[in-house]
Amino acid sequence: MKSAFDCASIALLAAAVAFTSPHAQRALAADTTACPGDCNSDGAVTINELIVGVNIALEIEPVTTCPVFDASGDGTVTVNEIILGVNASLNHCPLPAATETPKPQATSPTEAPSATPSPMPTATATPDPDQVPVSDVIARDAAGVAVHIGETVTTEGVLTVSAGIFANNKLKVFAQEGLAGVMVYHETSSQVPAFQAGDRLQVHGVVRQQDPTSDANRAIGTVIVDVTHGSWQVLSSNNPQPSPQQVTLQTLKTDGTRYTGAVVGVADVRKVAGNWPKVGDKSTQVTISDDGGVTQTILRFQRNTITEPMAAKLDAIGDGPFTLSGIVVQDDPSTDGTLLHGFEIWVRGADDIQPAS
Amino acid sequence: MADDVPTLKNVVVRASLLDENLPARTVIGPEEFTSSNKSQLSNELELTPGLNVRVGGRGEPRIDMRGYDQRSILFTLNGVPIIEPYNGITNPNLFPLDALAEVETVRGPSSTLYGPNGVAGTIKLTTAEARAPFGASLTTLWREHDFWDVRPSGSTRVGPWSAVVAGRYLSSDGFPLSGSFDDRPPTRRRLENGGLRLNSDQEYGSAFADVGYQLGDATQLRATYVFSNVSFGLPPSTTQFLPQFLRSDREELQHVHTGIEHRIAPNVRTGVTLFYSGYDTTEAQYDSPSYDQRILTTWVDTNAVGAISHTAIDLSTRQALAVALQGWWSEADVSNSSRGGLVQPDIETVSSGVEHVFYLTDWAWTVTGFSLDLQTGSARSADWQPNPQGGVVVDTGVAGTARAAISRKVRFPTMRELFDPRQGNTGLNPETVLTFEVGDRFQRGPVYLELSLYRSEVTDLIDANGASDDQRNVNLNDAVLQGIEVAAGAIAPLGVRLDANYTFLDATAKNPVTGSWDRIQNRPRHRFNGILRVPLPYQFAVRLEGIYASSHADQLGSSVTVDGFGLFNAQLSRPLGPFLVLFGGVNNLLDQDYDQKLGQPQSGRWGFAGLRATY
Repeated sequence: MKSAFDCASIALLAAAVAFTSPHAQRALAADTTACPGDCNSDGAVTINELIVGVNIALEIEPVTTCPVFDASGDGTVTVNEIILGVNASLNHCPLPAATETPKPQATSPTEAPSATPSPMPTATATPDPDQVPVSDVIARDAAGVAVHIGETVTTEGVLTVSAGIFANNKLKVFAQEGLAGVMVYHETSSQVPAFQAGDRLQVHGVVRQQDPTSDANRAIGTVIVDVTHGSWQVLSSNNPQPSPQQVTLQTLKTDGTRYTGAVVGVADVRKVAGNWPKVGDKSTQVTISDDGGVTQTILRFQRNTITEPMAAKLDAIGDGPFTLSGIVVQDDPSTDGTLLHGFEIWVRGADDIQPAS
Repeated sequence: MADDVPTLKNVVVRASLLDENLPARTVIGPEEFTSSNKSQLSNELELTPGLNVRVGGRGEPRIDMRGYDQRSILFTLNGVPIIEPYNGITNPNLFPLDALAEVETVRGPSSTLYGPNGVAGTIKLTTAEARAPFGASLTTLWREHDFWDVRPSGSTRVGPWSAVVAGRYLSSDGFPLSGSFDDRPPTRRRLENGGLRLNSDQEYGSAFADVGYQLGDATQLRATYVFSNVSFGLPPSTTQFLPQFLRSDREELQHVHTGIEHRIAPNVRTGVTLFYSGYDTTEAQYDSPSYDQRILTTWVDTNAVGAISHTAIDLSTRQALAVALQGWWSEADVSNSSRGGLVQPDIETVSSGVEHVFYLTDWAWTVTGFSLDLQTGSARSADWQPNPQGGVVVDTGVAGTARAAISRKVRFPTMRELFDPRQGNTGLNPETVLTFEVGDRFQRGPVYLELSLYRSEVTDLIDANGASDDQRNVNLNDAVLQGIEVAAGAIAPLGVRLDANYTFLDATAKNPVTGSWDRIQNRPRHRFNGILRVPLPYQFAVRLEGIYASSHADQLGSSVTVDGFGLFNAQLSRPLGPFLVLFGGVNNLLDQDYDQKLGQPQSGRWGFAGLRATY
């Protein structure tokens, strides 16, 4: 019976979402002062809370379970009042006046939450109740499209690379929290501080996906948080760097999206094609393999990583084996299916390359 | 003081019928050179309508004309192209001002007689003529922060011989930043704290010589030589995360041309000129702004050798014809201290052109031209491009002289666009430009007004595609550059003279991904400039200059813009006897903090004084 109720709840919820037109939002929101649907008063409305509201509407649960759904105070919960809850879920609750950090805003009211386990914002232990974990920011659907694409989110993580290493006049850094990493992007360096690796950074920006070889292309690539029109805050500095997740290139081939944006380590790697970069070269890529050439991927040296120590180390390695650390970036997957569906590894400096002992 | 006497003509100048009739033209003559007391050509050009002078990536001034960058502007010296085949860009400040008699900017596709590449227009430099029996001048200019500019020149004319020599030595520790300079948002990269701009030092040395010989009434010979050697620091960007510390250790131009012109018949004149241009650069990258340790040195050495022949025929009282044939071979040698030799391409360019003017009536005439332009060379198959031009001119009398023109012109890719070790693409097509223009010039007594409206449609625009660190040149997208130029002036009683220009520019390129038309970077939509000259009692003279450029996009289609700015310069001068003029003034009088390119703050208030002696 419970599953039947859940189905009914979902159907009612879907109907509520379908009627969440801008006109309806304006009409209904005019009467609302509290945060409808926020049963636990945590500043966010989750799917579970919406289902509670639907259950109240279906008279499965009493209105006292979550009185804030009863916006009209008539002792019942109507579809309109559930719509208020859906709006709060999408647009988030009114912010406390003392909070300075900008809050996320859903950009598309027509994007309904799915009935599956939701990646919607949930409260965390951080100061911002609407903050989204990095692992949620980079969540993707089966087609590789970021679930939150186009949405404005707040998230935080420890930077694994300093500003300026991957781009001089744009911000291209990666923030990692736990095992998940995401690129933080700004259109111009003139508006952004020079964040350093080890900074714990809280950012507020739009989720996008990008072919990293072309800033203009919107492809099924690396998930980024674009803070060009957003905000940021360095919460602390000199935090320890996350340890590289040890992977094989075969692992990247089969499960690359999971590692995209994060620091990984690969052992016993050899260059199988291309020439090592030398000082003065621009961005250079070589092809590497860790299984004798069967599985290959691109190792990319951005211009500012091609220093004298790096060139000397690469000269010493030659065609020999080495261990590798770096950040996984996903190129346009349609370009070349033989190269791990576009996954490549960006090194951050000479320390990311070590000759095999 | 030497008397003015008839001088030898510049025998290698190719008089273009098209240029004289169809495009918009502005001439900077000796009077302006004398009164402006500028030390660099770029400072003269920034007061010209349709031109925008900004800081380029190599730290040099870059001239944009009608929204095109300098690759699309043809530079000529006495009608001979100054060729820098690798970047396609010539530093205008390599030419010592005292060697020049006139600078003419021709805005609109260059004449068919000049071959390809000048799709934006032409900047024609004409060298100084000799005075008889001799003349000499010495100009010294001092600015704050140990800026010295010393320019001697001399000339003589004896019998059939004439000679002009000129030189220039300029040295500066750097330019001052505005007192309101702000390092922008809080960062961890405070390289600038105001005061003297970091690494903005420069040193210029130039020499010029010209020798002419008049052989009877019908034949003239002339040889001209220019040498310039420049070294300067490249001030690091104040906004990039990891600024590079670069220095141009050497930028050297050597140009020589020699020609003969002969009048075959009363109505037929012909000439041939041989020329050579060598343009070498050495750029070094250091590990710190103090230039302690050199990391990388890059050399780009180029050579170009060519010939031009030109014939002008007056067919009748109503028709004239001009034909030209030119060709040059150019090569580059690019290397760096890390990899050694990188590329050594060569390119050959050939062009044949014809122009015809036909007077329909005394007040209406047509001008038509056609050129066939060829580029070939390393890894390039021959690419022939036909380029027609044409227009009609009507002298309306009371409403001035009106013109309407249409032209097709190509810019062949530069060696760098083709062969750069990383970005080069030998498969590039030339940029093709179709330009429509109408204009009118009105002059009544001391008042003049010029109006030009133009629209250029660019196909196969060459641009770099990809992230900033991983780009490759491609025929990326199309562009439209359209605008209005207004130039007006008047000479009022008591010798007060005002020249004012306004340029509206709408420069957009089609975004290949989104299909939207985005603003091209570094192209201010509105630009005003003006000069007011006021004679005062006791022979004093005041000269006021103003420039305003509106905000512009930092990158193609970017929402980040560089702020607009307004500059005012003031100068006071007074003759001290028949041979000396004392002058002094202040540039950027209001000490405005301004960028011409994001992260490249320019000079704040800067005082100067100088003395010019002329005989």
